[in-house]
Amino acid sequence: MSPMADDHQLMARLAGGDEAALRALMGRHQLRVYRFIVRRVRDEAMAEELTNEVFMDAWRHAKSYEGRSQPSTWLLSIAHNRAVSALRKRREASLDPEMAGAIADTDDDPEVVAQKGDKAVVMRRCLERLSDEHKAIIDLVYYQEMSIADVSAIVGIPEATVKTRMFYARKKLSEVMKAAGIDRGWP
Amino acid sequence: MSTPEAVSEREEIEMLLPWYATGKLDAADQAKVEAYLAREPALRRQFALIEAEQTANVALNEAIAAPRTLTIERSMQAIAANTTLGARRAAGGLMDRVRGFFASPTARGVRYAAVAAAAVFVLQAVTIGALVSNPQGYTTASGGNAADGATAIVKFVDRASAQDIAATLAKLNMSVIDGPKPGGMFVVRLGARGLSQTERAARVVELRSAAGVVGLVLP
Repeated sequence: MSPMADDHQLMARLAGGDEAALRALMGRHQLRVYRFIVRRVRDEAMAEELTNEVFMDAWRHAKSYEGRSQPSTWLLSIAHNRAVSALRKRREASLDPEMAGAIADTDDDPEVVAQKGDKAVVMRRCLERLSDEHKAIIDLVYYQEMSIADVSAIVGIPEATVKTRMFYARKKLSEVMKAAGIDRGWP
Repeated sequence: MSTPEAVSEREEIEMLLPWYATGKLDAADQAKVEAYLAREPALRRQFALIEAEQTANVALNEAIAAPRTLTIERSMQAIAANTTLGARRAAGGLMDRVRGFFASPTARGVRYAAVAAAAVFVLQAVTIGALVSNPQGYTTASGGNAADGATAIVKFVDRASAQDIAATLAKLNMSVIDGPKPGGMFVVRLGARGLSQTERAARVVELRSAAGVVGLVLP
């Protein structure tokens, strides 16, 4: 049986209040949900808390899951909403110097890394320099391997916007890399 | 004539390439991309860029290890403390659940909250223990208890001692039957099953009148 079919079965059992199904769902998706969130909020403790909340929501609202999207899409959609909400609250508390310090980027600048000559590391550093929106869509497409329709459902934007956002995220990446001294030859 | 916002066919295809590369395009878009690539094979050079982007992005994600504290067991405990999952786990007993509450916090915020509330919770846990051991009290929580309409959600005031809480509840002939819930709330049985709405409202008023002990009553 395919993992996706298994996931749908788990959701059906979850809707029936099956605790073992919740454990199984967490076993499959907890890490990917955590990684998605921690890359949005850049705070491990907050991400851990939010990850638990995602599965709490899944437990509470499993009956409302209609099977129109994959369970992984549904979970990431909850994760996205939780992360956005947490970021909004954090922005409201942005005058807190301790909080500001917690999210400071301590990595080398891409330019510095470029001088060291590791192109793969430069690429990673440059990916980290993108806006939150661009990073999120790149994570969803490349790491989470979501389709256009999935990303649309998770982020809550039209499919046409998904395509253009990804396109401009990649263009921006090229610009950032160029500024770091690496010309990708595109666009 | 095209508008500045119009997307060229090439750009339209370029937009689809990341999903083509990850095998996530629907059949129609896939056919569109393949037809274009057959006409414009130079566009295939993009795949090397996309592969490098994906490799770097996957590496960034996989470099993130789950924190040691993020385990299924701990998550289950955290969820149990906040949802109906907790109500289904009555078998462990209230004291186990009070202990579990302190064992389960994983994230920093929850830990801070737990530490800040620890003194109050310990006092209230002692109270609960005394009530649970009382032969007239209720030993377990169950959905039925909460569903028969004779309970209320109560938060005791922070400064109330264990003795104060026990004495107040005994005086009112009430019992704690579940908790602690998030926010330090407890489920208190107001009286025998089958209380009328009027009787129930009167019991809530009595409970609220114990102002030095009871901080909040949610019917």
